[in-house]
Amino acid sequence: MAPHLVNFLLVEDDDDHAEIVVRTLKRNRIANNIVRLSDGAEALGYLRKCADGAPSSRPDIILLDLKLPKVDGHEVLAAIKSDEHLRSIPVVVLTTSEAESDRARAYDSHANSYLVKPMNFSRFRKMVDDLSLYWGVWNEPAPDS
Amino acid sequence: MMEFLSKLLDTSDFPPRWQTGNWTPEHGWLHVTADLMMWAAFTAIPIVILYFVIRKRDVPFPRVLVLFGMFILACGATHLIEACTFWWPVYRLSAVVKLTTAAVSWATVLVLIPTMPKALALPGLAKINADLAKQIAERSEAQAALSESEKSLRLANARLQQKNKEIEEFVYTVSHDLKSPVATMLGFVEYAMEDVAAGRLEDLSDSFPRIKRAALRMSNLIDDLLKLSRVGRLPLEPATVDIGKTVRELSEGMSDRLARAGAELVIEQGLPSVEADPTRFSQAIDNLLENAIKYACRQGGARIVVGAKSIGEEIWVCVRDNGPGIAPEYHERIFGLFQRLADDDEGTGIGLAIVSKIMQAHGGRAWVESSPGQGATFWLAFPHLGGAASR
Repeated sequence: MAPHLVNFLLVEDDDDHAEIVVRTLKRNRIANNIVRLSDGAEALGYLRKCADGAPSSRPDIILLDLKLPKVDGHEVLAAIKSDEHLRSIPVVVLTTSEAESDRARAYDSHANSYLVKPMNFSRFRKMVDDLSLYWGVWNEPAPDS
Repeated sequence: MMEFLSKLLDTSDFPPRWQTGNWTPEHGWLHVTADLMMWAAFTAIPIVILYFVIRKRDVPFPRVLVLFGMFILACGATHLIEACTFWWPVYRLSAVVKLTTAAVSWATVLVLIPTMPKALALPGLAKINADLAKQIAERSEAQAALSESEKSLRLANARLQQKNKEIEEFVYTVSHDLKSPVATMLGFVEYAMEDVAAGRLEDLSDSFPRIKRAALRMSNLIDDLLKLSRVGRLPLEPATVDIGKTVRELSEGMSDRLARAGAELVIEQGLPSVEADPTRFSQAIDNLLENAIKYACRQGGARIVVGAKSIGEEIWVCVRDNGPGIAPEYHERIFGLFQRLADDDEGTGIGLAIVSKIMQAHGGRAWVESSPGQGATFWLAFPHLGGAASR
């Protein structure tokens, strides 16, 4: 069975943090396709194109940093969750901020998960493990087909 | 007792007054009418006084007033009996009533005398009014002072809250930006440990430079934060600064970097002098030049120009580059702490915040004029300090 190609959109301005995420995904052997963008404005532009119908590039999951140049992550998250074409895409916030206000605001904007760097990189890896399992199962053909 | 009363009313020893002497009817009736009028008036007065005392309640010396009433009533009674004696000669009753009147009169006198000092001490209405007016004036003055101090207290409170908010924002931003390299180091150390354990050495050569860069970045951040805090802490020492000379000295220190970046630095001729703290001035210009080298030199043929002009009461100094420029929506934001428009390893996001703080300390301002693709001009406006720099 060919592995399901999961489209990841990583919005992260820090090259090193982006590398950590990419390495984690690769080492966990999620056969994935990662698009990395480094600022909020770029991310919004890319997602608008997806919403306008470019299904191949539509991400299956978005990993979003909060502190981004130009347009910050909160604004990007709010824009995603208020767009009817995009709101179903799970968004995992990956940030160094432990501020309660950030966490509350992210969940208010319907973030699907909130992980704090660096302590939660291991949690992130666990999440990626779970995801690979999920996508693996999801991709199995139905038993009677 | 009954005997005394009948004796008192016994008229057998005296004739009615009409029969004593030669009364003309006019003369006699004049007496009778006047006496009756006095009796009526002397009865009415105490009733009015009584009414006054009862209604007023807080009348001073009410007992004296009651004695006055009784004394006037008694006087009235003597006049009534005087009128009666023209027909009914009750001279004994008349004597008793007169004696009673005398006793009440003297009682009034005896009470009145010791009351006099107290009555004299009572303030007059005009004085009471004046005192009251003074009190009201004093109170409204105190009220005004109170509301004034309340206002300044509220202002101070608002200022404190603003400062508090700034500090909170500062701590928030600093902690985020300091944590970012820590996250990098921890992430790659974790990988490095895994790689060492698994004997995968090829990834190690990538992880370690990243860890080192993150550590250096952290160190730069801390250095810049210290510089920023120093700007606000140390007092200004204003002097006359030769702009051209200062920029030439700064450019000597960065000639290698300029050459490496292939950039040209042009210092306009005949630049004026400016009143500023020389160290802070050169720090501000240095940060602007560093900024220009970092961002303008990403494309070839970079040209950085330093100029200055006198505008009204101010000296405006500019650092202009022909780099990619900055969109208008970021013109204010870039002077904030850790506001970077590009992801780069060199910038800490503190340089322009330091420039802005230096200009605030000089009572001046810093801003940028730019549009994408058109380069950027950073302006610093220095006011004439007049020897009294504000912090």
